Amino acid sequence: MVQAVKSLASKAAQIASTSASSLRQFPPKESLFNASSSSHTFFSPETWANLQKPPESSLTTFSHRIGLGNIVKNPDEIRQACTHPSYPPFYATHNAGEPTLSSNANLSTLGNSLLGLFATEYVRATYPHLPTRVLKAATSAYVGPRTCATVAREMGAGPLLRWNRPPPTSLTEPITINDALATIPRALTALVYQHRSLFTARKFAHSFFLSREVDLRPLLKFRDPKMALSLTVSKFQRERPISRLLKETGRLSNSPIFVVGIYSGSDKLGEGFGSSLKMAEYRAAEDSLHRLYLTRTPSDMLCLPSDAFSESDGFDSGEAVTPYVPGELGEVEVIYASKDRHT
Amino acid sequence: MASTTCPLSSSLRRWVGSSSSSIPKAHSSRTYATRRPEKPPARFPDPLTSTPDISAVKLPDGVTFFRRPPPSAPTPLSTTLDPSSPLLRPLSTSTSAATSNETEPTTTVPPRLHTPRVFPSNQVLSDADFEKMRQLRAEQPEKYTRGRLAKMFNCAPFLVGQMAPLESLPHKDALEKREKLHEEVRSQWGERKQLIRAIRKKRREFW
Repeated sequence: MVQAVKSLASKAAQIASTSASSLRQFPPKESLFNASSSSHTFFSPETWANLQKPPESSLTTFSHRIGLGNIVKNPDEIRQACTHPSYPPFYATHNAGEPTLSSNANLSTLGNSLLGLFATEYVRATYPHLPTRVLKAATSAYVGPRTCATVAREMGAGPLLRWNRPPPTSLTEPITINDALATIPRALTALVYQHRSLFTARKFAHSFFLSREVDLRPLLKFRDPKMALSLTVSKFQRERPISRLLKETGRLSNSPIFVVGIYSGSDKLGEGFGSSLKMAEYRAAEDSLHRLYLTRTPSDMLCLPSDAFSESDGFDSGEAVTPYVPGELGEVEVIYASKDRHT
Repeated sequence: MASTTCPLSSSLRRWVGSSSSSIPKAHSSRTYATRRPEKPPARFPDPLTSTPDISAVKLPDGVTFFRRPPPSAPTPLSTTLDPSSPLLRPLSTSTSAATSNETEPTTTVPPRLHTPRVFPSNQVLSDADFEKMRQLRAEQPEKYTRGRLAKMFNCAPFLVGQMAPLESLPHKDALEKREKLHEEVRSQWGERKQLIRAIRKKRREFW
């Protein structure tokens, strides 16, 4: 029963809905059965609802809600930003006479590049010692497709999205509603960039995407953390790491606890607990690497490379921008477990 | 009064004596022949002085500020201003460089988890030795294994594996052969053993 209600709700969310108050006549003429009419076309409520234009009031409300009321004044631009490229051909088949609609394809591509730029420089500046593949994963976590879809829903762009699910073919990948929703925040970022400047677009990205809490610890996983730590420590030219037992209890019982610390000389690199000595050592090695890689720059000391873009290069700075001071470069990560690729 | 050696009679005398001299008091300090066993009053050590992790700072207005961090696992998160990883902090001047020297740590450190590794000898092998190792391994990888070569040249097997590795194809063949042998052995396992090993493998994923 609960499952049926849930699937119904999700189905309803995917079908376009339009408010009856904005329509001239409801129910629409074509939905009413007329015995005398010659053309007996099949009426689909979902298709009809999808073809309706969202009212201007909802578009204006949306733009004001997300703080773009004074930046993007024309509701048609918001409408374009909410139109997925799959929609115009669908609309044209049902409204042959009207001019083709413009979609958010170009805006979405531009916005995607901008978001990628802002997220990469932010993550790099915040975590200077993070390994490259983790940096890439973190960027996806901050501005990837799933995050963009979530942000679109949080903004309230769900009912404003105009898209049409294309029939799945063997050649193309199926487009889901999340893919369609993800295009909206990207398109909005591009709009902000077009109407104002790069720095305003950066502010928009920071407030909607880069202010989110992302835990990077699950992204830092190692096949052999002890070996990775050993190679990392030798790269930093310190004494080789040695595991030492800090605390233990219940060694011969069925639920022992061991706390192991890894030391380089007399400095503790990290500690970990476990129900076996090996497990505790493994976790201690992971903790040592986490402590190294997850060192973050305080937000008030953050200096982003895009601060170095000046008006002379053609970027309209708009407001006063802090002078750029280069951040520290982290030690290059070790690439281990491959022949001839470490040292 | 007759002198007595028996202690009971002396206490009895005392009792009799006191009662005859004055009216009996309610709180007379009487002794008993046997004392009821009582626990001594519990005395607790002052946590501000006994906990090892505590740090005390005397502030200028006469107040002492105690910092007692909780005994939970410390967080790996820190800032670049005060990194928690010693690798990012400058090396202390007392220790001289090196990765190879293993001097004893200056401050007291907890005991080791594993016994310190023992090297077979201190000799340093030359390039010619490693070349010979590689040659032998390439010719007869099944006869001249890492262990046998280590014994021949009196070094650690790890060094043999590092300096004289097999080429990728013979290495893959050797691994496949070993895997097949192991697979045969694993197929002989009973259900219970299979289950126990599978549980252990699953547990490792949650490390």
